[in-house]
Amino acid sequence: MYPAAFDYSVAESVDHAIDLLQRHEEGAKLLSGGQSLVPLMKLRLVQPTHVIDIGRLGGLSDVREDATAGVVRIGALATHAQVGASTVVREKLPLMTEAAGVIGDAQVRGWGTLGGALAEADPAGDWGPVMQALEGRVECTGPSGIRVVEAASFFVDAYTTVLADDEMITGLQVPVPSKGSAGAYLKMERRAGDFAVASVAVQLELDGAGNCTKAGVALGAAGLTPIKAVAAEEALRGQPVAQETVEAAAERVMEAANPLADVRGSSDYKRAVCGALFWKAVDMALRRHRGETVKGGHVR
Amino acid sequence: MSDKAKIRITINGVVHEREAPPRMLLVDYIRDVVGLKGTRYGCDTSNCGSCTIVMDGRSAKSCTFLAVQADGREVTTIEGLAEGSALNPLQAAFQEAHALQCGFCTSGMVMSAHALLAHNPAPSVEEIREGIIGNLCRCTGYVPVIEAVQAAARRLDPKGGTP
Amino acid sequence: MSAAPRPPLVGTPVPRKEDPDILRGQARYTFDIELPDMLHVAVYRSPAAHARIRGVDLSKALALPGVVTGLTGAQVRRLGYVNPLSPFPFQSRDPFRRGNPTIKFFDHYCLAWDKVRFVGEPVAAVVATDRYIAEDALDLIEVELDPLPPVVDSAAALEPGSERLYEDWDDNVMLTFRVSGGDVDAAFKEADVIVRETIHSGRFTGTPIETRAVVADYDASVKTLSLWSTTQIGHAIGTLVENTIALPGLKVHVNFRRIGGGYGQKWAFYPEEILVPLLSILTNRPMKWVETRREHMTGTIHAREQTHHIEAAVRRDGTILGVKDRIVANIGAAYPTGGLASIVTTGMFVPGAYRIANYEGQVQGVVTNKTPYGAHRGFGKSEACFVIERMVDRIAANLDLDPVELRRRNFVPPDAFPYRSVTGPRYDSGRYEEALDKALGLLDVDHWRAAQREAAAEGRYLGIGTCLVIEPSSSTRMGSYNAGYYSVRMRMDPNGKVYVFPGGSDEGQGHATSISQLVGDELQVSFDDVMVVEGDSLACPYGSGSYSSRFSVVGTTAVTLAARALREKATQIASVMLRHPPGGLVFAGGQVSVEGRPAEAVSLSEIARVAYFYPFQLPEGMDPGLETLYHFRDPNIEFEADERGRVAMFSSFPYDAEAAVVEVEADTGLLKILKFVSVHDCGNMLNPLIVRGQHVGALAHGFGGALYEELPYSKEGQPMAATFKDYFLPTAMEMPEMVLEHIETPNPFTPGGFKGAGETGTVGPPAVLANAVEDALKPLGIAVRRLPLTPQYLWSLIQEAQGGR
Repeated sequence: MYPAAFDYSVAESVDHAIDLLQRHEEGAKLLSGGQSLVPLMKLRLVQPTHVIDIGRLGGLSDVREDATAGVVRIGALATHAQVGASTVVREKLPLMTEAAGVIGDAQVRGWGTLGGALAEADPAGDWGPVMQALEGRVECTGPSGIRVVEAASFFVDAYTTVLADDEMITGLQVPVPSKGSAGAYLKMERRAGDFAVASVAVQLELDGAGNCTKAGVALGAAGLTPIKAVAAEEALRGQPVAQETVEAAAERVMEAANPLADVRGSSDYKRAVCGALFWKAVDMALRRHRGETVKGGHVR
Repeated sequence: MSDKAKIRITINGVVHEREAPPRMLLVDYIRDVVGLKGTRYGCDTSNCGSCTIVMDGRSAKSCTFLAVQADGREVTTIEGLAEGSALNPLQAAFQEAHALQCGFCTSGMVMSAHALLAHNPAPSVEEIREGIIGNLCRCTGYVPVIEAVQAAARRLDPKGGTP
Repeated sequence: MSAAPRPPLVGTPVPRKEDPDILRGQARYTFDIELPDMLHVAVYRSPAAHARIRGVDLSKALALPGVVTGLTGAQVRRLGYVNPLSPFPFQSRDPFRRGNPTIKFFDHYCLAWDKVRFVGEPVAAVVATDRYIAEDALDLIEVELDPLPPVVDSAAALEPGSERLYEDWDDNVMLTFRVSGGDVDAAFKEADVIVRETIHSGRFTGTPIETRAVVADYDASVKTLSLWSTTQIGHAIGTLVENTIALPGLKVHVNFRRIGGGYGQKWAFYPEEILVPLLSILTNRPMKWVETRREHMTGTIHAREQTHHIEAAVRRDGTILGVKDRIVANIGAAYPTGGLASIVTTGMFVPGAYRIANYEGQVQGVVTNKTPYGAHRGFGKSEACFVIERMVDRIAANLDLDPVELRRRNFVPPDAFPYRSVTGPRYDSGRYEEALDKALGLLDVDHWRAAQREAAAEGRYLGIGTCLVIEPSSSTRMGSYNAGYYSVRMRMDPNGKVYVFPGGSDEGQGHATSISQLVGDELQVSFDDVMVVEGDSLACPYGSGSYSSRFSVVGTTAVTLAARALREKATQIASVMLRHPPGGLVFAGGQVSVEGRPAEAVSLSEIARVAYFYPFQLPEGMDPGLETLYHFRDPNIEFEADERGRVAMFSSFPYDAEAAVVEVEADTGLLKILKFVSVHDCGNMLNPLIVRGQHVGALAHGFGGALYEELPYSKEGQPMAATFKDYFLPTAMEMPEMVLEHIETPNPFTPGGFKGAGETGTVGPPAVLANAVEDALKPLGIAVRRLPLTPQYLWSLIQEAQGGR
């Protein structure tokens, strides 16, 4: 299966890319690693008239900590493998390291980019829930400069984001969680390398007494977009992380989930999986908080 | 629309500069423009991995790239592995472990294993499994493939091989 | 010069001679064939499950630059020389003498012409200068369809008022078959307990990584059609093409040299095998079609979907007195695939490994608006074994007996072989109880029972399952292309090399290696001096194809006996050359010498040169040359069923005892295999490396069908798994750690004692895992009645048992 015909340009700079986007309007698509776009073009689910290759733009794949701002900045063209291998990410944002390891397969991770995956906005994508749980922000660059959008409000619908036709993602800002924070990303798969049946990202900040001072909870493959489970976060915040608290939060998680039925499971089943994964993720986060080494990521 | 572009790719150490339309997939450039038929595809949705090559040191599914994306890059295909007429240690390990049957997925499987060992000379069984999940095989049940990669790792790096 | 025989090749793990070409990327598949001026075909397929075709308009597609021609079903019928697709696997439309089975047919052509009957059915074709343009043209084809009510479910299809797929049939039943033996009614009267179940096998398929492809090159000047097809039945395809394209004087040459996996999916007669040649004939240009995976998932056969309404009459001690099974197979549309044969096979083998004296099987093949149904590794036997192995555990649960004990009590015992089953087949050999004991020993049942108790105390669900499955191999079938023999031509050339031309084909099994081992031993030539030429309809003797693990049984025997015939002739020639009676000659080490006088010897090459170039030196009446054509007829089969449908349709009976430990997670339904043991007996092992490879590969198909692979349809008849994104082939990660052992009980009917090795593994995992799941969920009183064992299915069983907590 082959893409329909299109025109092709290589962007020389971010400004050039935006200029090309403006000239070709909604018929244009940005190509970075191509690991999401090319398959969709082959199935002819996406038929751009113009493909703008931003894959070779320099300076957009750096990963570095900005200690003053308290964030890690990640270039949009950083590949999943780069994020997975980054020492900064491992030390400051282990939740991202965990997520990077469960995306697709080795070939996809080596070429697919963080920015590309977020812009594709696949309902079953992994970065969406992770960014939401970490309260990350997306740098959207357009003709009038950069606007920074919270991950929680970045996704509009399946395969649709707040990005305007002449905007592109140039980077991410991910706040570094405090020292006493721990999390887990769990993704249930029907088989290795598949999209999630459902996935849950949890990041908990705990004080010395074991009370939850801050919680980030988000779900993947649980609706048309990633879902930040705000009610569940609220149910945890300010509470000791005990059976009843988690039970109440898990109820909120399942209420927040609105999964679509497909070959991976019915809506009811996937909702139950969201609840089950949430339980596991909280348990895992607590164990990690206690210093245990626990393997997260895949559930299969 | 879609005028042909000049695409220059170094494949197995040889520079190929040919024209192709922008929509041409890299795998078709390799197979039909350059004529190296050892790289194949079997799924159209980037799942089977039969089309796996190594590009700029990273394994890549050549059906999931436009040929224009590979312009200026270095590609190794299955035809680039053997040392003269002799199989390289990885290929030899595949034969000895009976890690191939019909052979249709084999080029991609070997290229994924090749890339894995280049990055991780002493992979654990779990790492080998993880390293080849992007390559579907319907004949072998994977067990002999895993054994072949282990054997090749031991042969390539006697100190580093996994038990 | 030493004339001592060298150690045998047969029985040793010789690495394959096929591999170096493949590993260097030099092997060429149908996909890789390029011919000058070749055009590319794309096929427009029905987007609807069931609809009447009002019109097909190619005009816009034909106007696209680069498009050369196109074809519709109506045009095909107007050509005048094209017949409906010939009814493979049957010889004719009236293949059965006794009216059992009954069968109906329909005039399907290579393109749909009256109605479309499944999503994926070929409707029209376009031909272009490259594949990209051909695909562009597909988007420009306009097809007008009047929707009809889809028939998706087989039970609904059987209801009297159901929409019919074929208006001139009086119902949706394509095939019926009855087989019985003993006195079933008496058995049910005598029974202490009757156990009834409805058990369902899910629809899945083999999905070789090489999709199908057809290349056709018609040369009008010599009326020759050269055809390359990814098929397991190359010779039959030649015949079927001749039957279907009725051009007087047409010569057909079929090439099927290197096939990228078959597993049964390429054992069918496909519309494209007529369509692509026809387009080449119409344009007089070479034509290539390569199936996309999306086409494959709907246009290439599916398998396995069956519902069994089974009843067992048992004594309180667990003795199975009798079994009745009503089998309904959902076979999709009525295209010429092997599906009908596979469901007849299911009816034959429900008794499995058990001595069941009274049995009645009723089979119905019900057409629906789904992809046609056909062969897949395990061919009907997988479904039969799943049902009987499930039943054994259900009976044990009903009687509160240990399922292992129940198996022991009912097994065909070792001294009963050859054992004539109640349905007719003659089981060749087996040691079922010994194999099962070995499997249980390797599993360490006591350890896992203790682990199960510990788990239960923690509220976890751990279970142990067992099964013993048979996988009858090397088949023949009444009235079909499958006539239970194997032909081989063999030639020792003047240089002493041996060329072997088998009648079958290789889809990855390693025939060239196995044949080289056999011939190397028989003719005492080196492994490298055996040249195997396979998959060429004009070079090789006619053969019914490569399926049913028949190479291991009849193929190896034909090769061995052909080599012995050559050896006999070479010895006679040597006898003249050495002036010594044949009885005192030693055939070893690439030469023939006089016993005790090694210096008096002639090499095989010297003998061959006399045979070819010095015919006047040959013994009186001997033909020149050193070449033979050998046909081996399977001695353990029958061609005609008796009045009760009984017939010996398979000749060798490999089997596998499996044991597994699983844990089921209640909140997600996820199943983890904690330990898996297989004790496999496929007779003597020709090449243990290949046997192990075949078995592990087959097990992977078994795990796939047990846990992952499913081809569900919406109620509108839309396929839900139409790409590899939604059809879950196992990856390396899904294969459990396995303990594999072989025992060798020779096949007494062949010189090598081999049985089929490549299919048994597909049969066991669904049964053993379902049995283990049921054991794990025993505290909840759950019965497992369908496949696959998806997390959602197990979760919903648990939810139901817990009252929808």
